Amino acid sequence: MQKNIQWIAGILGFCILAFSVFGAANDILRFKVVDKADMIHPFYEVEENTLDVLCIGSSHAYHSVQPDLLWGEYGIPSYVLGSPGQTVPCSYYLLKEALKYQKPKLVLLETYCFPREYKFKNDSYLRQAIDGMRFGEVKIEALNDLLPEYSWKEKMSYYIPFLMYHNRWDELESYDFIQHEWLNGGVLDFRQEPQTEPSLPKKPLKIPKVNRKYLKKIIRLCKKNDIRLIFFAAPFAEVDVAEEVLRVNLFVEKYAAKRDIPFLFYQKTRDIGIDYETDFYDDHHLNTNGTEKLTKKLAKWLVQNYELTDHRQEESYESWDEDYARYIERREELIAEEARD
Amino acid sequence: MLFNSIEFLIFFPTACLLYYLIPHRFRCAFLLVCSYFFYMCWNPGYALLLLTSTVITYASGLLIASADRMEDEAERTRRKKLYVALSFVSNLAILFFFKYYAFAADTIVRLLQTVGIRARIPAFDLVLPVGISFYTFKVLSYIMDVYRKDICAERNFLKYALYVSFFPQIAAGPIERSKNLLTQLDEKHKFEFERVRSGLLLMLYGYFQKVVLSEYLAIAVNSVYDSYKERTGYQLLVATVLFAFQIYCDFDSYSNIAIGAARVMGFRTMENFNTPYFAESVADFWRRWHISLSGWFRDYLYIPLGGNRKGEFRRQLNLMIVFFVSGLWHGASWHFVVWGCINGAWQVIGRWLKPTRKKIQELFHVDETVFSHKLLRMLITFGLIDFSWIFFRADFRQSLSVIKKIVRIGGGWITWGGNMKAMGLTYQTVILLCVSLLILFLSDLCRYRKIDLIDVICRQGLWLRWLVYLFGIFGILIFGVYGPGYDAQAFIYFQF
Repeated sequence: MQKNIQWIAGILGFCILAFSVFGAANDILRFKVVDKADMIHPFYEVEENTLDVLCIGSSHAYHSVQPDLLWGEYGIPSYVLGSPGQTVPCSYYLLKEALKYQKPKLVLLETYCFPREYKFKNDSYLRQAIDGMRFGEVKIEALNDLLPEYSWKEKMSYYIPFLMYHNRWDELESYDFIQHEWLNGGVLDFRQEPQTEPSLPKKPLKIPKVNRKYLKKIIRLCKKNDIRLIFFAAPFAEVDVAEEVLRVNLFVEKYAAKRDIPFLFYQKTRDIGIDYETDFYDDHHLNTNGTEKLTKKLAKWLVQNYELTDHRQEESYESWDEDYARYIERREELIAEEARD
Repeated sequence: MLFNSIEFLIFFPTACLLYYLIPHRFRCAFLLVCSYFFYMCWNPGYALLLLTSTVITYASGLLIASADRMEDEAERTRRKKLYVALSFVSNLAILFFFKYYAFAADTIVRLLQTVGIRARIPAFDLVLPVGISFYTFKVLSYIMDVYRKDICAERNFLKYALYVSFFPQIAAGPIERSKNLLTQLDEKHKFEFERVRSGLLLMLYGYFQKVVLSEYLAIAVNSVYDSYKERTGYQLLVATVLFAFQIYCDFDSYSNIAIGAARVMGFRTMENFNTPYFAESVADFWRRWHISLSGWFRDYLYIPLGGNRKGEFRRQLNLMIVFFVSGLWHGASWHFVVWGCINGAWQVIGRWLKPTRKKIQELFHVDETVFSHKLLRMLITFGLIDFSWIFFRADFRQSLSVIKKIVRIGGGWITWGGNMKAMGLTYQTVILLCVSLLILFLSDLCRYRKIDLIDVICRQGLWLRWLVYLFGIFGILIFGVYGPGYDAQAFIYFQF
């Protein structure tokens, strides 16, 4: 009997140890894009029920909103749950997952992906949105919905991303061992590329059916959780899809108004003071110059229109001050680097 | 269902758990269902062939046993021989039809063409049933053992069917003898932690050999052999040496997983490999390589042919016959036959050169017991075996081109890094391969010196034991070749 207890305890002990090692190995080997697109996984590090604002969307979301700045200047705890090419269906599932851990007052949804007619563009974009999500009912629901034709075996590597990324062992870099949580989903990048401002079309273009379906779900989810949903459209330069996206944004204006959802259409209002010569990182995305302008403008608007508490003096939010300090430090470094170049 | 598939990783623990939970009297039937399920995962239709072979040999066994009870000796012998013959002919006919028909038809058509006759033989689009060569030999050994009265004919059909289809061994051996396995099927296996752990560790080592070593070696070997025309002699030489380790790791891994899986459930199965590359002669190699097949050929072909009892010429002829058949067993293609014959020829030549070798040794006062002499013999044996592997890996014409290029070797001595890159390996994978090959070497060295490494590990303190387990598990999980983008690679010996 005692022998049996001994080996059962041994097996349990070993399993706990093995799972801990697996967790550590998984964290090192999981796919990361330096300073970008590693927003989903670190989200779980944020203390539960501390966020007031949650921003979701594609790369346009994390190139527009800087959570550390929102904190530093207004004491608003926020997080950008963004991923490259994130589509509305992916945003819906990420929001659903996020609400298991946080009770934000406001959810900001970036509209760049509204014109897309697919649930996800390709495997890589889907993985960057979903792989960071913890295994659970939301992930199962999301994958069953997004990959209906996949067998359980094909979906296995989505449930356990380690199966996909274990072979990164021969390409590990120092950043794989360093955590980047201090950016809270934001991006710091001062590289600049002069751009041209696109002209605003006149005719609106309807949001595709698939996105209207998931927008409805997002609206319902926000209502159910007593969250104010806000749409916003980050500026972009003259790109091939500019006209299409802007036309859809014209449609979003009406769509949002009908549903009493505020819509911040910055490219139309032109009130941020974006300089197309200096504020873009590439033709699609703002650099930190642009991000800071947009974040400050957005923060003012949020504070004016909603009852957001300034948490800066609260003890439980001390780590946010540390994140902000790191943000400022890194920001200065990058500016100095840019000046040297 | 491959051992290195996710299905098996679900199937095996479930089957083991249920095996230990259900009462002993149902275990045989349960394992039989598991074995047929395991086999039918490839193709449900194959199970019919397996069942046919099982029924034929089961009935033959009983008939031989009943003939044994006859009083008239001549009639008894005649009957027994008849049943053995019927059993052999029917089983070999199935094997021939599925494995050798296309090969035989093609050979006949080509032969007729050479004498100006155009012939057409109907073709069938047949898929080779997994493990057919293995289980056919298994059932035939049973018939021979019953005929020789080495064992009693099995009366319980379920037990016999389980012996034939036992899932750890069905796809690629070891070709278990009925004497060993059938008698164990009545044993009541209790869950013994130490034994289960030992079985799991052996399986873990098997997975390491397959998923890490064999798969990375396959990347290098396949990249070179798949475009051998564009390759330098040096690259082909390296790939050929690596293939020797690839095929060893691949096949030994299957055997280790099979033996380990059987051990977890309480069964003791036969060893299939015993440090083959430590062999000091080709004959020694064949006593260490695929032991279950070599033993089969020895007991059921070489000895019935007269073995070494009928003079030197017959001995050498018998050797050549055995290796000709062995080549054919490995594949329905002439290059396998050539491979087999080369292995036979090395041994025959070895016998011819024996007196000369002795004279040289006496002349130079060579001490056969020293390490340097043994090492030299091992290296020469490895070279001879590896030469024959070329014909195993590539078809006949390709093999000749590869040999020509290796012999010329010129133009191949480019940088080490360049060669490795051209072989599909990165700097990191080369390091990984070197470390893995070192582990293989040390493990084989222990086996060679009769040290039971698993036993040694299990006797260590907790921290070291757990460290070894963790290194094993995570070594495979991190460095293994699997996951999306990789199809679970079948074991090389599955095609036989």
